Amino acid sequence: MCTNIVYEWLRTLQLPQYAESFVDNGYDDLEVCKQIGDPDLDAIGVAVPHHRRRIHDAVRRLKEAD
Amino acid sequence: NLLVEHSPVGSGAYRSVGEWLEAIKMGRYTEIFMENGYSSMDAVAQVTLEDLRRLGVTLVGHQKKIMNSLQEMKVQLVNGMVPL
Repeated sequence: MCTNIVYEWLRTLQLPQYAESFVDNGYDDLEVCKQIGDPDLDAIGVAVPHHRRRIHDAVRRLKEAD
Repeated sequence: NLLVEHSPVGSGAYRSVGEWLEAIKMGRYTEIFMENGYSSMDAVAQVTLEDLRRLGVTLVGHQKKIMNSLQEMKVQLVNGMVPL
């Protein structure tokens, strides 16, 4: 099976449980993940506040890496 | 096995817009598509990113998912993988 980059990314954030939902919602590469904001996390179903914060921080780091 | 992409299915495989959207887990947009005149797979095949935005599909992941699926259908049509 192919290991998705988003799964790897979420694994480094210790949030791999959301990988399926990320991919199902079309967030299947890091370019699209860079555009994640609150509405995206709502659709994906990330409800836990500190998980949301961790993802927001990681998205910011992705953008800074450009 | 959750992350393995399901093999794409051509537009000919879907009997309705609702069935197609459900198959790609975008079923929440079925009503919006129907109400705005995208009620057949032929009509849907013409949809652009701009159309999606106008319909209120604002999440980039969802835009990507729908556009990718349409692209796959077109490729399969061109390659003659879908019996006409």
